[in-house]
Amino acid sequence: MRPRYRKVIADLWDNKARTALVVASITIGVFAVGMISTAYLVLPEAMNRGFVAASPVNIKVATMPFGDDLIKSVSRIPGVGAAEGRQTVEVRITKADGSLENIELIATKDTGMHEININNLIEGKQVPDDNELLMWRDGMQTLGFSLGDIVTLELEDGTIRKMPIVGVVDDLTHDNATMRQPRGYITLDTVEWLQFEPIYNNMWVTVDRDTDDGNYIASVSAEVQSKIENSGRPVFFVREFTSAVHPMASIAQAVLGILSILGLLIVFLSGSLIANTLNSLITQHTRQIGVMKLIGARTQQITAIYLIEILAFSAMALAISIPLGAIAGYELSKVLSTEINVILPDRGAVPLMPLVVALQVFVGLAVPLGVGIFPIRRGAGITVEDAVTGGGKAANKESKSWFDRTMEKIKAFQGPMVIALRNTFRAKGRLALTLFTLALGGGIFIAVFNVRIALHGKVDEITGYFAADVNLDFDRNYRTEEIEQFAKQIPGVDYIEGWSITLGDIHVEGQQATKEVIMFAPPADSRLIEPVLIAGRWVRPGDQRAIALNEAYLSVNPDAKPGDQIQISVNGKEKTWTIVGIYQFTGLPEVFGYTTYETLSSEINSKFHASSYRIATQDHSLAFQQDLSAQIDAHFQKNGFLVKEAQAGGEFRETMTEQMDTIIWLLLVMALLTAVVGSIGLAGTLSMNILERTREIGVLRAIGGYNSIVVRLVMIEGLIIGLISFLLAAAVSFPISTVLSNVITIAIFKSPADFTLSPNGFLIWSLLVAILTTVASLVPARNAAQLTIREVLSYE
Amino acid sequence: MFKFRSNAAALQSSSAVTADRNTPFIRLRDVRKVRQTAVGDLVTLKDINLDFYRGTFVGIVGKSGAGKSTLINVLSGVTDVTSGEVWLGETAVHKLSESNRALWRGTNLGVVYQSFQLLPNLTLLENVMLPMDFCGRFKPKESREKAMHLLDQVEIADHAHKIPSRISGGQQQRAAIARALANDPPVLVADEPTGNLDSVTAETIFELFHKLIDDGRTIIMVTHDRHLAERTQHRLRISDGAITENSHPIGHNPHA
Repeated sequence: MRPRYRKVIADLWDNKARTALVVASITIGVFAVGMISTAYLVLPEAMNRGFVAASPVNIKVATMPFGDDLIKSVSRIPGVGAAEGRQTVEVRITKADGSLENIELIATKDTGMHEININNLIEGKQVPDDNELLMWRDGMQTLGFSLGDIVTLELEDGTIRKMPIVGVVDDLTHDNATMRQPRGYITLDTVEWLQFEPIYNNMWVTVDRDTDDGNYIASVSAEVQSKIENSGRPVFFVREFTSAVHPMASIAQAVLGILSILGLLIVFLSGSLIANTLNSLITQHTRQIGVMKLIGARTQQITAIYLIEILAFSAMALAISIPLGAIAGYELSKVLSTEINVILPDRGAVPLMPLVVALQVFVGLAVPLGVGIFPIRRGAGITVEDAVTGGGKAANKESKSWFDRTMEKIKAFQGPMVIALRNTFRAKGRLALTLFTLALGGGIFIAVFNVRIALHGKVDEITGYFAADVNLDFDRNYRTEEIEQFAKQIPGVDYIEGWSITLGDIHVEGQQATKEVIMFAPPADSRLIEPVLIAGRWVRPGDQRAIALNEAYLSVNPDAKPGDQIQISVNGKEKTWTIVGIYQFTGLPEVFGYTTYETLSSEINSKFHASSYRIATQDHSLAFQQDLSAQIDAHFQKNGFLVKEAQAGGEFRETMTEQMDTIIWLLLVMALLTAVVGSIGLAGTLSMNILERTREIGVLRAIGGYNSIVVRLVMIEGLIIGLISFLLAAAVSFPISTVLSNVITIAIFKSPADFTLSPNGFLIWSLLVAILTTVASLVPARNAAQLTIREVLSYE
Repeated sequence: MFKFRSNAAALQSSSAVTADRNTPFIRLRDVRKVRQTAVGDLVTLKDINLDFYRGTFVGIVGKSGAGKSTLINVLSGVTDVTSGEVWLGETAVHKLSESNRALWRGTNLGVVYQSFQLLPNLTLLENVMLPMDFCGRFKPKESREKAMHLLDQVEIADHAHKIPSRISGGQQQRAAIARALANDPPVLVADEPTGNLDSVTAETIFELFHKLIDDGRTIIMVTHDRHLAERTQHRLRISDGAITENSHPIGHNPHA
């Protein structure tokens, strides 16, 4: 091998710590790129492919019972791809922990073989026999069951039915998957066994083309509704869905987009780290470069030697980061996929993707070469005189910097403190890069904790609409006074409100189709709702047909504003309502409206009655809520009420918080990566500073500087860097927090977040920096202190 | 980017054009070197005019800071002259670019320093092969054989595969001399080559230099050691940047 290449290998091998530092710096950036781009390619593809393959329903129509004739008739409508009937019933299921929960059971004639909303079998049977149950995987996990378990169902009249779980399926079309609402699949005969009519009450339709075209779906839907109405059946409600892309695709894209931005920042940080280390490498090699030039090496040859070294660093980093990035990218996709009801192919089926590898190779080569070329050109261009004899122009430039002059003037800084301060600011370029890396890394780290608080704040805002401790629903209306009386017999119940809930249709001006609105009507003076208004006001006692609509209505009618009058059909009667306010809700596309109980109960002829109740309890902890829910459930059942569900209000908050925490967890992974980059930067800078001053330390010890002074010098230097970086990180965390919080909350909730600060991020980062600086300073300080004077003075 | 420009003048070995011992081989004319320092300009070489002949052992003495090292740095193209001319054979060294000077130096001049200046992480063999590698005058196999031969000549062939820190200072200086001879340069420039060595080792290095002179090479050596300087053919004394004593001024060939 030619000696110049032997030198490359020797450089890599002899200073293993430096090699590890550069390789780790490149690896982190390339790893982040690989992880995020793998997720970017795997997740949306899996989402859409799996979703489209499930042949998702485009139109759901709830109507009076119907049979195969109507299905055939609907399927012949031009534009209809397929039409199927469904019977959807809700019963109560005893969870594995003994508590009760509602489960939605979907039945059709050929359950397991149907063509719309096709399930993917995970284990067990694809087609259930009578009195057997197929279960949706995630819902089953929520309930605590596994394949083969016998579940207990409680029917409306208290009858108990037991059914075996014979199959587990994935239902990628589950429209309430994120809330983990349990769902099962049974035959029509099983429906009868569960004391429901074995007939269809829902028409599910797919369109034959343009499944992403809402207008086309609406036009086919109008034909379907017309056909159903012509058959003499009323249409209770209609829901339309596009099905070309997964409904959660935009959220997944947004989360991946944010991770990509963070990934780019990490590449950026890793670049600055590489620049720092290569700068130091060239500085350390100045004399060697001079010697090589002295014996005949030209500038281009020196440049080539160090570029080859960079390529070797890159090759090692790529060898580590390509497989690691692919694995982490898959796992990242998996974490996200479980949150948004997506099935990923097995990892074995996700080989290294050429595009991702190409991107990683590009980043792994371009970034180190891009940032390395400057120190290399500088180093290779040095004259022999400057490099070897030290008598060149560089030597003649030495003079006291403004910093040194300032330090001399400050009397308070004396002895080791002055030396440490000067040392800190000696390699200004390196210090700037280190501070930049640490500040940005720390800023992101701190920001993630602020984003967490902002997201939880959003959850709080949303749960403000679900402020009750227990939500009690009955299968029919009861007099509110009666329910109140019974509820107050239960110790712990503080307060109860009867809410009227119904579906309405808003007639949007200039459009043929109507928009469904889910109308909630708490008492006008409700204490169990805390709305966040965007415009106008909330409904008040005495309002007549006044309604507050959520932000989703603005996507139907962007010009809507308080004071507008709109036509809403409730209970078959179309009347004029006044929009009094627009409020911020979850970002979901469904339109929700709040009016007063007095108004709505009058519209649906159920004054002084309600089927839905909101209860406030004396203790607001989740455990108390769950315990009281069970007591309330039992108490009302015992007294002959048809209880549909009694659910702890905190469960909703917990599910939402868990989902937000998944995003936070992902952000934290990225934050930790940035912290690692920052740490490597700090450790590297301090080590390099010491290495470059080995001779100086020797001189210091030769003139009487004992070990503790040497250690103290290095420690003070580390702590100064740590302190400055922390202050900078704290400053940059503000804008980063704002941008990150807003991007995420706008993607998920369609509204920006309030700026919030969490002391945790600042505290944890300050501790991390303190530990890092101590460790990163102590090791080189101890090494420096252990060198003999002879060793350091003979050091070259 | 990596296609190296070649400079015919730099690549040409001066030994080919100045084999004759009666013509000045190295010529310095009105060489002046001024350094800019924080306290003002410092003249380190004052209008130096010198001729050196092939096969001569030149000794340069002077006090510390007198300008000895600057003089040989100017000679070897390490330092630019402020004014004047430096010729080695037909090559105008003062006109070469930094990069071409490196190539010229690699093929025409061997340089030996007091502190050896071997690359610490290469073996002695690799250190000696390195100039041949950079200048491309030999094929890899040839350069290996030649390097071994040179190490053998300086009597450290047994240590060929050791790194510099594993051998003594004298052995390192021998390796540095072997490296300086790698491309068969006609001139060897040595700055205090025995400064770091004990007297016995210094003597062996000095004997080695004499052998090289016998082979027809020119050696220009800076030394503090008056006794060593007295054993050279052409002696120079430099003081405050000016030549104060010259045993063979211009027109006086030591071979004559």
